Amino acid sequence: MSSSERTESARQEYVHGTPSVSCLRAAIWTESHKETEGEATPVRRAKAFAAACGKLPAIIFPGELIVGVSGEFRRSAILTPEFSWTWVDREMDSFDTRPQDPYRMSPQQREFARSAIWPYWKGKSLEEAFLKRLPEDTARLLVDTGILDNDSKWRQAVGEVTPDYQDVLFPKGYRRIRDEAAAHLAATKPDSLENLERRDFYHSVVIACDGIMRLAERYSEEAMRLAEKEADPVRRGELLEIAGNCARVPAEPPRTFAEACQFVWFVQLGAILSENPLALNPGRFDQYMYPYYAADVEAGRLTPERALELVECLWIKFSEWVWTISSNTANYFAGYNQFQNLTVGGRKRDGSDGTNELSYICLKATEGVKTHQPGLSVRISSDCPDDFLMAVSKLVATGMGFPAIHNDQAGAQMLLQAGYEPEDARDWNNCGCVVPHFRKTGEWTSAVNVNFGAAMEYALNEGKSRLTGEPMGLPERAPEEFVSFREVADAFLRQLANLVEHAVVGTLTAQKLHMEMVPRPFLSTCVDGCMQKGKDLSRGGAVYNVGPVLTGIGLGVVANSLAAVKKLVFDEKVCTMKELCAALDADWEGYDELRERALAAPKYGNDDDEVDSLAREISDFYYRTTRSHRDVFGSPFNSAFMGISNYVPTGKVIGALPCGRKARAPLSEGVSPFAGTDVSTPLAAMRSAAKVNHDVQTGGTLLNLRLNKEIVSTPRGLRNLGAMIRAYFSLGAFHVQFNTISTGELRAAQARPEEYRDLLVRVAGYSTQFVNLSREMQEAIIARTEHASF
Amino acid sequence: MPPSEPFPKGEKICVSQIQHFSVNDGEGIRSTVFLSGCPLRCRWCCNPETWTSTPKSGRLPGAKEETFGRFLSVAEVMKELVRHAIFYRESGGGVTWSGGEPFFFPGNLRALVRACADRGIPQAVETTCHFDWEECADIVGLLDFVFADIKHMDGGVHERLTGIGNERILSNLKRLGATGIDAVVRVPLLSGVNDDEQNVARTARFVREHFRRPKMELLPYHDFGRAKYRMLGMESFWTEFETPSKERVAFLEALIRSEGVEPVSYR
Repeated sequence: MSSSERTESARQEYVHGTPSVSCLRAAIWTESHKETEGEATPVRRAKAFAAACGKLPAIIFPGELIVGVSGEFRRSAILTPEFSWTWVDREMDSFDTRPQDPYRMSPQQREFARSAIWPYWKGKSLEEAFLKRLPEDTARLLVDTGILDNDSKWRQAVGEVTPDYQDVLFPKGYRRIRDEAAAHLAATKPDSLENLERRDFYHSVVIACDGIMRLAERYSEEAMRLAEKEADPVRRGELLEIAGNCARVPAEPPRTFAEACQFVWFVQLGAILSENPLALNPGRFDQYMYPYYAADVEAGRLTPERALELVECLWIKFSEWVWTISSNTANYFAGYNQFQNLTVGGRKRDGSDGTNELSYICLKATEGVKTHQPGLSVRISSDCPDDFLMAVSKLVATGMGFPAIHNDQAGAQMLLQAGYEPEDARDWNNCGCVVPHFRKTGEWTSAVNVNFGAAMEYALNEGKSRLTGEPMGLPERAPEEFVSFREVADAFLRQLANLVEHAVVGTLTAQKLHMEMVPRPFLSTCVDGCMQKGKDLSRGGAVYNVGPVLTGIGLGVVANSLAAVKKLVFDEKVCTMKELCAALDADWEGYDELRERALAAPKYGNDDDEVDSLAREISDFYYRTTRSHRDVFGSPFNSAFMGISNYVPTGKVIGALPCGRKARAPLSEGVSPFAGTDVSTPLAAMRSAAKVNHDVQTGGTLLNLRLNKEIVSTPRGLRNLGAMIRAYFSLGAFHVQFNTISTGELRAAQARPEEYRDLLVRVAGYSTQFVNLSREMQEAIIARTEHASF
Repeated sequence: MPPSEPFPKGEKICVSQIQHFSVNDGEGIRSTVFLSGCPLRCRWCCNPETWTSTPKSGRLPGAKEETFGRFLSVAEVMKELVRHAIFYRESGGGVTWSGGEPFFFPGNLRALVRACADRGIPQAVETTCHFDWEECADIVGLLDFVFADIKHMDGGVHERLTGIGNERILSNLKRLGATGIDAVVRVPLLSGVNDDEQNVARTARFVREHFRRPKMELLPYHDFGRAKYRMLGMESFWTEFETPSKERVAFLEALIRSEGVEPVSYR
């Protein structure tokens, strides 16, 4: 339940409203580009942005305290044809019926897009250029295959930015940023190639600043207009305050907490209009907002209750806008998830604990409005207050999956490893999913998804896909010619290294095109370094340029598969390599007994060194291999084991694997065990996951665990959860997130026990696997869970 | 008397189960080690596989055979426990020795308890309190917490319910109280059998009289053990009891409190 009637009614609208495609931004963008043919690309982009800021309707919805929307609908999804229009054209007729993340789009809108928008962009979009330039052998693996996936880098904008409120946006405001850019422009003579480019950049920044300030001004005017005809004196007062806030920010530095909240939303909105970005992170919100909160409370201008309401309003804003994505991308990033990651808690730059009242207010807001955005992350250091850890545990116990819990020290260690100064490393926030990030950074934090299952398949199938028979990987000898387990493992690593090489090619191709085609004038104002260097963010303007992150998918499933090969073929000689591969070809049909044996082989997630050591070897190899490649700025690539929903689509293109997994079944996510195979305890799963060297996986690691709701239903249970988190982190691990179990899931576990083998329930003074209980005992436990008492 | 030395089979101990991530028998996150062998035959016992000190196998109709129990050396038990030391440390948990009756083979328990004490792992025990105090006093001295049962205050009823009188149990409880070790006295609550006010009040007065920080936990009867009897072909030993109502349990907890004993719960 939200903290006020206002936020509750906005929440209801958010829950029940259907996302609707808005063509307005695309129409304005297109018209602007028609008028600027021949001008410098950054300037053209900036002018289109400013046009959108000046022409989009300024709509204030009833009851809003934080205002600004990207289209005519409360839940608007905008189109960005400069990146790609072909997939929209292909898919928009089924937007409202597609299973994952549908949008509403009227026939008139579709007709308008086809007649007034697409024709201009034909041949001019990033997607078309990328597909033309991508080398053919890489394209085989990279374009809509599920083997390597980076379509969010050519069908979409990159996003993956954390605006710098601390050192740039709040202290300066957009008027000063504009003036600085204008001064640089005046001082830069067009006397060299570099300076010509600098001038285009500064020019684009001036235009973008004018644009965002104009947008705010128009909202101020609209609020004033509504206030004049508002009969309710309370709402009238609110509208006048909104008018005042929008007249002030983001042009000037904020003075109050409310102004700062509105500032943050205008920056998000500006970024949305500029490129419809993924992972535009509000960052360390409790840190940069606290001075405003504290000063307002001290002066009696603000109560904690009102602050909570404002934060809830902001959370709803974060959740209302819709990231427009292709159905393919939607399979990887399911759930209208925009990945605006907001981080609370953790140490300050000087290493002291930074937890404050706002940290708690943020947890409370998420519990109250239950919005899927912002992606709420917490940093837990060894010095974190017990009260904060308890508040985190309480939020986990609500069963909503938030917050994502991170090890403060491990995050800092990862950034040190990536080359950051120690103070900056301590000041990290989360980007997108679970990527430790720092705001003065240009980085593709999720550049390519790399399918580890594919490397396993190619190693055991002469370099071919088992499902299609197509040669996809490196040529490999026939499986029966492997004479030792080591040869099999090495063949897998070779295939993996080959996939990494193609992922690098795909990334470099996209990076180069981004530099040429889609400069980011507005987002360049948000990242420190661009102004000083006179360089766009896409060209390496940020203080730190960190190499793109290649995300490995299926670590658990390949470790299990290698362990099964070792045990069945080489250690126990239960079957030959040939027989095993025949079973895989048959998707285990007719090989029930062999599959039983494969399923009984050691599985990652049970604190079993035999298989966990394979996961460690594979992840270390992956780190060294990615790290050996460099991006367009000369920065080494980074490795990660993140989750999102990518383990489902990547599984669909892979045949049966030696671990007993059937063809097309999901792989495993992040450093999590393969679903249902961590049959010991969550503690054993944590110990397994912590054996991976997290500190070198600088793009982040992810562990998802299931917990019975009952375990965390008492203060003792919550303390134990806190202790589990601390213990996991003291083993050096980076992230953990918990799903607590409801009755519905217990019912699902009864129906499909094979998928829920890891589901732990408390029986009588002890906890055990639910699926291992008799039907009558399961019923008893379901009854007890429903009544939440015993 | 049960044998105290040597081990039942060579140097190995029959361990029925090691339950990690155990959170309902003591503080924090614990590992509960169920040691086989018990002098009592409680008619509601939900762990009949631990009555004697050998592994038991059985199957339910249509299901696979399951085995309860394996022979482990002290080193093997410790290898499993120390893996969880970090979780004990962070949560204030530790190891809980349970059974069966963990004191049934004092030599085994002594070896295990010393090994844990040497590593600084906090330890609790769940015991019937039916053991030779003189022989076991040194073990008790190494424990941090004791859960002890009083199934009934009346010796005759106790014998009908468990096959053994309660004289030695009550006498050991007095000695336990005198040691000052933190303890909780538990009553497995059976409707119409031992949940009458007279028995519960007598138990509470006994606890108050002999323990410095008197605490009791009422554990309402459950029939979750039934499937195991069927599996092990022991159905003739199975007796159905009734679970006292929530209201009854709450009433008895109030009664305990009025007798000056703190009712506690690790649910």
